[in-house]
Amino acid sequence: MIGAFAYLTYYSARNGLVVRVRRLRNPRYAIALLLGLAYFWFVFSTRSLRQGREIPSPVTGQALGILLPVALLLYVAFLWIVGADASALAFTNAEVSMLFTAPVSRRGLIVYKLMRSQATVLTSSILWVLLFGRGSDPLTRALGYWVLFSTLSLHRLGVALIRASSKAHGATALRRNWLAGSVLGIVAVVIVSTFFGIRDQLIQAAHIGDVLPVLATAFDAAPVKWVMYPFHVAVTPALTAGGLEWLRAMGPAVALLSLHFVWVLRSDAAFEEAAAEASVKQARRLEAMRFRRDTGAVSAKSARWSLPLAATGGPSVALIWKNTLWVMRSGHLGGLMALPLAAWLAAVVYAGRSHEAAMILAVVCGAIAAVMLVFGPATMRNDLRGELRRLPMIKVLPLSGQQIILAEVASSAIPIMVVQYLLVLAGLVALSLASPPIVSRAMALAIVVSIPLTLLGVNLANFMIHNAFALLLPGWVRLGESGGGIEAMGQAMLTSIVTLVMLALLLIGPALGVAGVYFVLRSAVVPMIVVGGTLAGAALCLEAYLLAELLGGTLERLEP
Amino acid sequence: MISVRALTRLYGDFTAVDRISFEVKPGEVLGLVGPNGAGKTTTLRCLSGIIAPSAGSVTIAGHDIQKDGVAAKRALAFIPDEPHLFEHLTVEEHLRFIARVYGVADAEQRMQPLLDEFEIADKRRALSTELSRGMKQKLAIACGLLHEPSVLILDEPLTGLDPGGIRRMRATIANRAKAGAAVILSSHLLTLVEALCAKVFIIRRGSCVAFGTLDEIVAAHPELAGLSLEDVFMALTGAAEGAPTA
Repeated sequence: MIGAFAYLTYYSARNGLVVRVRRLRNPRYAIALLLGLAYFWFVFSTRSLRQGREIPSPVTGQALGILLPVALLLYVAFLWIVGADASALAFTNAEVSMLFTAPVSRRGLIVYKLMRSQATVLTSSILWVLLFGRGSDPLTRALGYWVLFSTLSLHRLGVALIRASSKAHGATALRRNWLAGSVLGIVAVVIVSTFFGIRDQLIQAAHIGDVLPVLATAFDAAPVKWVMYPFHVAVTPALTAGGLEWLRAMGPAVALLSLHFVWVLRSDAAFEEAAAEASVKQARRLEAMRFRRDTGAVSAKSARWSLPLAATGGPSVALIWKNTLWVMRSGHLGGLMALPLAAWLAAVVYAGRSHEAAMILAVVCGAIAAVMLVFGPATMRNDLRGELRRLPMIKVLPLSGQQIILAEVASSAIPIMVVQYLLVLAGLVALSLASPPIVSRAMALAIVVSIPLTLLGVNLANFMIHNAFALLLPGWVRLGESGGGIEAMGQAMLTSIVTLVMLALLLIGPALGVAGVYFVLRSAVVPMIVVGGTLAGAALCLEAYLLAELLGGTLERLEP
Repeated sequence: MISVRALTRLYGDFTAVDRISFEVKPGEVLGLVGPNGAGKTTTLRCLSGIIAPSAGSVTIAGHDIQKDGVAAKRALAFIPDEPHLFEHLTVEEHLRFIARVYGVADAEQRMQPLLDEFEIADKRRALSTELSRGMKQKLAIACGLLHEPSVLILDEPLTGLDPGGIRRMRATIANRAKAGAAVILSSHLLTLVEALCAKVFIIRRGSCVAFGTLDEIVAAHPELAGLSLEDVFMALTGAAEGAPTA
């Protein structure tokens, strides 16, 4: 059976590569690949130059030695608490049809799953060496990363199996997995009690540099040191240069990897022996998990929360309502709100400590809000770009093209705008809480009043450009179903560059308006902020509206 | 009322629909039948405004679908063979969405009877992804009927329905026509078409092969007298073409 799995894995990878090479005859893939390669060349060449000049890295090896195991611990905790079973146990439709109905044991399926995961693990290992490798010995680095990622992959699968087992068998499953449960419990108690013990020191730390020694001291004492040992073991080969030290680090890391392999297979065996259900049921369950992942991870539980919608009124509001429900139910809302919540918490806790802390927080909040202009449209595709796949459904609605475009663009722009506004407010809170306050109340109020329209205008214009791109050049926005790899990255870069240039062009008019306001009201800062911000926002909203009018006809003519 | 005049649709050099014309009056059910690839779905998509005709015109309830698309679509319901639903909306949220888009003020009063009619009342809070294929189809039909359209275009509406659902759907189509809706029904189930449709439009390779009541079609082709719609269809669409020849 292993031979059949190896055949399937090898030929799937080979054919995928052949398809990618063949499609390079199409200019859009070729240009995208060249851009992606140019980016890698730029990153590596500048890194080599930096290393040649021996500019010290801001993150020292010692800091990485502390932070990486903690990051790994947090990731593992996330797996256990939130779970990743849907993707860890997911199979493709073809795999479900061909393998689940074939005389293959469940253990065999897991072995196959592990073999398939090696493609990702190997690619990740090479990329990490290229991006984060330090010094020489790329091969030993790659091996170190391979052991780390393979261990993580196995751990993820093990967690997924235990969670699937507990879902199916409740307490019985927990009894079967008592060893994993006990280890998890001990680790959780030790880690939580350690963090509880150093909570005051962490809160009082004014700089990020102060946090590291606190963590280093706390994690170097028993019993947390013992608990953290496996995490240290897993990351050490990736952080160690070649030679004897690396060999010494690899021994325990490989042992940990082997233990994981045995754990995954044994936990499965225990499950299989005790399970009453037939393997067909299991296949159905796994297929159902996979289906949920494919349909945007909207769980039945999420449908408990809804929003009211009046039956009469502007019909385009229905599209915004529908898309907002998607934001709520797909988990995007939680992800989006985490940033401003963290910013607000940090502002309240740290801003009063020093001017420096308040300034850093305000700058970070502003920077994140600005960066969201670039990354927001990439993550929030809750607009025409997501809707184009069901174009017939949208086209039969009694709405004009302009109405549809405005509603769709607003659906993505408004959530991002709200998050940016909350971040700006968090920054203002930080500046206001500094003693003495860095920003006056009048100025803070002026920003609070004027910035929403500015942000709305910028986001509407930004998302309108992305949607226009999708509408006018649909082939350039997506690389098809098998998109991925360097050319996909190049494609994303090309899209980002063009959209940023377009946004810059749209900003020229409002910027000139703001400049005019500055010259007229430069002696009165507060009125200048209010008038300038409002004027810029209104101008950008108008530009977005006019663009929607231009694109409306294109949407009406667009055919599936 | 539906009025189609010299409707033509080209895909490059290929003519999918070639100058077809017909009318469907209020209260009438027209059966659109033809072999696979004959141009049925292309015709229905032109009628519902999803794709534009290359030539000719389509008028829905007095509104040209190209010139006054929004008004035409307000009077129209198109129910495709594959139910397209929003994965993250529940059954009743689909109906609320449609209510707002079409401005159905008394949507709450209309929803319950529709949910009962299609036996999905107990699934009203279920996401569309939780529904079976047949239930999805029922929901798509309920969405189409919520605003009481005066024009109903159905493309293989019985796909995925159970026998009970098929019977109820037949009754629904008949009732909507009785209430004054102009209905176009595309289906390969010729017995259903024969039972429900006053007129039949037989299309083959994009062109009209026959149009009218079964009696009118037989009158134009006396050699088909006494045959069922299925036999008439077979004879007119050249189903014997594929048979081996000597």
